[in-house]
Amino acid sequence: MTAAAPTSESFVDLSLVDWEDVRRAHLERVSLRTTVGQTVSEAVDALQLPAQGFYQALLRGRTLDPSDSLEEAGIASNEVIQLVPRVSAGNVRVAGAAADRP
Amino acid sequence: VTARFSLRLEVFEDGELVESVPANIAACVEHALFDGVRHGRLDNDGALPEFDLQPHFGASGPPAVCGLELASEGATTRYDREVFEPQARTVLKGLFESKRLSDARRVQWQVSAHGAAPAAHGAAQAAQGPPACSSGGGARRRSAASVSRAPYPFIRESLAGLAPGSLEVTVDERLLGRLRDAVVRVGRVEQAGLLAGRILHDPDRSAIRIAISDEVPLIPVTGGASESHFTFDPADMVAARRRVLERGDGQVPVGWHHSHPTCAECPARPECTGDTVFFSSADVDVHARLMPSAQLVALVAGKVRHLPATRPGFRLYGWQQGRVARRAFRITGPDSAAWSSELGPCLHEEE
Repeated sequence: MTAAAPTSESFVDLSLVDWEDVRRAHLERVSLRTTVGQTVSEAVDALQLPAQGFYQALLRGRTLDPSDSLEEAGIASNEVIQLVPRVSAGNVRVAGAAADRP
Repeated sequence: VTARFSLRLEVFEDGELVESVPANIAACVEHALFDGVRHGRLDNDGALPEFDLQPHFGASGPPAVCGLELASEGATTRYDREVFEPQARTVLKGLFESKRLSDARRVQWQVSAHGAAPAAHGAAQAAQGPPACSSGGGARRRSAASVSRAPYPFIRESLAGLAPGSLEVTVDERLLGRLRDAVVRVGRVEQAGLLAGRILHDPDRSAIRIAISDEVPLIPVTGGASESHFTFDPADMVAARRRVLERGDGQVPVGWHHSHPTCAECPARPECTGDTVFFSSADVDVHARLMPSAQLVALVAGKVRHLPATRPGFRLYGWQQGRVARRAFRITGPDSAAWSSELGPCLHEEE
């Protein structure tokens, strides 16, 4: 019988800020296996940002894939991730929708 | 925010509960914080004070609330149920898209405070026990999180001309001129940008002036602009903010602007009394998510009733008591009198 090889889990500290750079959540000991999406969700809760809609994560101008783990996203300790709301999938839709014009 | 009850946004169809999610009171907290700092009850140091939350029940009694009270540092502010409308709209949209709701005529939503005992005067007394909710969220913590906040970017200045306690928004006519030219030039395609300006605070008068003087255009993604929408890359928003701050002249982002184009025939029909300048429900949602701070405003350009389409007008919107509402504004600059005369009713909260 062979015992499974122990896997070591790595952790990072990181900050997530809103696009205004006003609200900042500092997360400690986040597993690098955590996905970007889970991390964003946790920060949105902690920052009590408007819950409706989704938030996109940017790292040094690069948009992160929410399904990537922090390790796959190349996130190191003490990185700062920016949160920008997405109103519709993929992009922010800024619209005067014709449908509800008076 | 401390509260000894659970605040939920609930959706019913034919009286049956379909969905229940934590009600988000972020807009109320943003207003209370801004108001506290503006009136000097709270220091502008980015510290988050303790707010006590109390529900108000309507004639039907608990658990449905008709409003909320937030109290901190001796001041209490009342918020109407309507502050939850943007969140309710999003929840309803999701339920209809997932087919969990079928007929809008049979659907109702309410915000309920569970575990709160009604008091004789209408506000609920705090029930015994540990706090049952905060202002939102509800996700399980996976790591230790701490939260901090930047101070408001106020510039201290005497605002002797303003009434004590007032908040004035000014827009430089040269900016309006540039935006008007762009709306006419681009025609039937929406445009958007980040507004830049200075936020002046007179703590002795508890008065604020948001002086809007410039903008940074946002570039639509490919195919991201039409007569009824404008879509941009979130990274562009961050870059626009950086461009404002890099000027180093005290300007900060103070909101956003966008246009509502006219129909194709309007420019050739000066007698047309159509009006395209309003704040749609989609605009409210964008403002709530993109501009949650209480001092941030939105300027909308387009055809206004009393002007031809070739002379686009403007209206201003912003946060008031946790809701997005029309705001008055004043025009500044060398040609402000002519501009004010031309825009006329657009400058007021109501027409």
